[in-house]
Amino acid sequence: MTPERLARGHELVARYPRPQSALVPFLQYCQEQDGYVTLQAMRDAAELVGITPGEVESIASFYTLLFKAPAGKHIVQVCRTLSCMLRGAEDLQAYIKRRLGIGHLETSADGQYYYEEVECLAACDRAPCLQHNLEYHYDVTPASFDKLLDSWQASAPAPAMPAE
Amino acid sequence: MSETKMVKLLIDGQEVTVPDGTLVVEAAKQLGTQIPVYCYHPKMDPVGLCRICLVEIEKAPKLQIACSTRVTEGMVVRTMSPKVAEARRGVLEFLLLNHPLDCPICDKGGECDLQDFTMEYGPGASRLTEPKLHKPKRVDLGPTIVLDEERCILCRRCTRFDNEIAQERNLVVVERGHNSLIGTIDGGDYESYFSGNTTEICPVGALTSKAYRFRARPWDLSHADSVCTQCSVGCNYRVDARFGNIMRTFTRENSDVDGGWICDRGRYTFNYLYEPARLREPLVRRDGDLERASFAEAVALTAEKLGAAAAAGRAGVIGGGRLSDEEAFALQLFARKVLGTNNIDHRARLQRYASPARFGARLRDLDDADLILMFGAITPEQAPILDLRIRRAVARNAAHLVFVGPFKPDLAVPFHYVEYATGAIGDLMEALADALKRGAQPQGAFAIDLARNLNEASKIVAVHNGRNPVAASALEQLIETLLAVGKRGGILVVGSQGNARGAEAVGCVPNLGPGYAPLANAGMTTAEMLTAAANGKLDALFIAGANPALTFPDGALARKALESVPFLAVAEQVMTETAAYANVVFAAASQFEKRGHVTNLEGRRQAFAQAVEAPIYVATDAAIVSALASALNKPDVLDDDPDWLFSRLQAVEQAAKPAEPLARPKLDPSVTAHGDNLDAQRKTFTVVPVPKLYAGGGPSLHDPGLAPMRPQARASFHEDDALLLGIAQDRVVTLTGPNGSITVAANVGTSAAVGTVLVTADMPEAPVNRLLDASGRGRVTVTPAPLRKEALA
Repeated sequence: MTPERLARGHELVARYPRPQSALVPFLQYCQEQDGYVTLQAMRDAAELVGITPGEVESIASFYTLLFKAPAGKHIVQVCRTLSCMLRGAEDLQAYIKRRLGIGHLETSADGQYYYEEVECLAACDRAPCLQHNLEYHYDVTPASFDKLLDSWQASAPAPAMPAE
Repeated sequence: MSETKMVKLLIDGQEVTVPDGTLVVEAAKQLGTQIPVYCYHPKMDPVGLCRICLVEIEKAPKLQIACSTRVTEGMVVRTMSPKVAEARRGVLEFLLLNHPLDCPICDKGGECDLQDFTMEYGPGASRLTEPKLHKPKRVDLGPTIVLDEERCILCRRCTRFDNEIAQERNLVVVERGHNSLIGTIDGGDYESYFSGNTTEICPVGALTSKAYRFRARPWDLSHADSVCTQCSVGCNYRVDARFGNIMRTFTRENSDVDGGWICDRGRYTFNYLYEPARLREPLVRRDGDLERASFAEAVALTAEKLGAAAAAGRAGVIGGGRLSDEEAFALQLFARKVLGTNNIDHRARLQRYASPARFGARLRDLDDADLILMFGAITPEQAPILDLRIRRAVARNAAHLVFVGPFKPDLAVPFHYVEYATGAIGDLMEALADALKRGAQPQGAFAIDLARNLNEASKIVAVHNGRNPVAASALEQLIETLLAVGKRGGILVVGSQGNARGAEAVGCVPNLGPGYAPLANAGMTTAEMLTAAANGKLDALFIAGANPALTFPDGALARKALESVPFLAVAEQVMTETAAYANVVFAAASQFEKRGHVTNLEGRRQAFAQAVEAPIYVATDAAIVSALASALNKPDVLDDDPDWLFSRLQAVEQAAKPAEPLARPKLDPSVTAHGDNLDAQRKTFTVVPVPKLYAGGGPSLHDPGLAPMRPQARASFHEDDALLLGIAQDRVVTLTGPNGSITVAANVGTSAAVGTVLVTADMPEAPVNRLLDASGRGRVTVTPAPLRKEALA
């Protein structure tokens, strides 16, 4: 572990009654540094909070905003749960995949876009819902997606999961 | 002890009284009422994941899970009501929703809880019209297991086993949620000495054993209640065979011994029987080569040579630790009553005694010990199931674990490490016992620490490797001192071979007869026999189930002895480094091919049944020695019938008058019990042999099931020494002692003490015994191999 990473880790651990509580914040920090959660970061995290690397993986793999491989700058996550599916998410998903030229859990060749279908985003009243980095977009249709895409291309995105 | 409160409750109208806090599922068992379970396992904490155990409890607003609900006074439980039946049907419908129903090709088919409970409680048909969810069907989970994720019902017994029982926490649930999978970090191997247990506790056919996969159906198997002899713990297991071939082994719980678990070495060591290396008929050396021979020819030749040597008082017998109690008894009868010599010794390793002379402990004593002292014994490698008890005591009961030894071992639970050269432990313990007795402060920081631990503890169990007689006496003295002040405790000695303690107890040592009865005229120890043979003073050696060429500490002496002795007969299951020197090799039956008793490290004598027939020209060790006895005109001394031998053994043991405390097996004059000073200049390094579970030269070397787990021979250095020597990780080095050298790859870390080099023991490709003397000491110089050009580039 680099000294900076270790120092940051100790700082995070000191914030909580139990070291393990610092796990996710530490992984967020590592992801911000490396672009994704590397295998080394998981091993470092295990050492830091006193659990096994396997247990880190078990927790890290639960979060859709912790990436285990380099993901695009623009993270596009479309809800695939019931309300959204009833309100047209299936067609929207098909459209976005065609438009971006990538499938579920894939990153475009230019490294710009990453696409994923995720479980409920808790915005059922305004389905279908899509998450772009940390921003929610509601009532999305193929036409409104085109407009979103244009706006994204014009500006640099905020990080998908800022450490803090 | 506080009185346990008992509560009375009704289950399906039947009254039952159980201790307060009992789980409903366990209370129902008392009545013989089965409540179906998947995630629940009596050895692990309840989690309430699978919901199959729902029962109706009066006054509870809805159904409750029997695996997590504790009984209360006057509770009324219904396990067979229509509501419960409907709930079970519902749970099973969900569990089966995406289940592949490939029962006809599933290893578990026929002994599967999902199959059985579906038959008993489940819906007859599925209402699912959508395609089933597909998951990976053959995930290579590591050296022993293939995982079928589609069959998995996510009960998490396996991950909880790895967490709660093994305390290793490498097997986990990943992608938690809709797509939960059983896995490891980054898809790596699930490596554990206990992995096979997960295949057994898996209630479905998800975790399958590579050794057993697609090889048999459970209803085609015959079962034999056996006892594992791969180490000295003596775990009970069942050997399952199909048409006379062993297919698998299965736990057979004896809670006093194994707690219902077995290790992978025990579980998977049997396929060597079907390898070409297995000896299937006797061999006799003709014109320099070992050639196939009849049993009669092998017996006649051996009887002639051994008999002549014995008549001249120049014969010796080595072995016993691989044999059953009956056979070890027969072997010493053969030596004493047929050959007329006390030259018999089962010890072909560093171990010098296998039974504590006083204060022997039971394995169970580890469960509630609050201080566990490991003296040199590396329990995860030498007695894995004993180590599980230590892990539990430390993790669950906050027992304090102290390891005293020449290097820092890799243990699964936190421990206090005290670096102490093997020989010096005796000095330390003597000083400590002395100080405790006088109520004085001992010398040295560690001793003060340990003295405080001992003072605070109420029950102390020491686990020793039986190598250092001074440490042994001092330990006994220490325990005596502690008992005198009202503490409890005892000593466990980990055996070097599966039946080392049995061999010692029935008299396979030069100065003790059966029942530890001291003999007037002691014979020669293994070291003395080998020295005599090397100097031309022995004419014949008979070795049964021992491999001194690989395991005797002074390998150079052992090899010279085996080469020089005019006649050598060896009884073995597979060709070994020792058998390669023999004039006659008898093909010996494995433990699976005979019946009898073995004695485990706590002195518990356990019966094992025969599982399969031996190949036709393979004989039990008892049959070999009794045939030799007949050929030497002493047919009445011996019989190969285990029942005959056992009743004789019991009679002799009952009549025996053991000394109190037990007399120790005779020691070699070469054994110096006190410490060795390290070379301060670090021109030479002290060799420390390190046991590894899957090392060895006998059956384990030839077993295909163990091959993927076999360790690599390694030399480990402390990082400071590595820097000094200019050695990096994986650099090939040559270690050279006065009598030989080996070339191995290096490990660099902090587990070795400064000035020492740890060498994997019992590896035929790099035998550490080329570097040691008879007392297990060795100093070597270290030469890094020249780097190859490509490595430099």
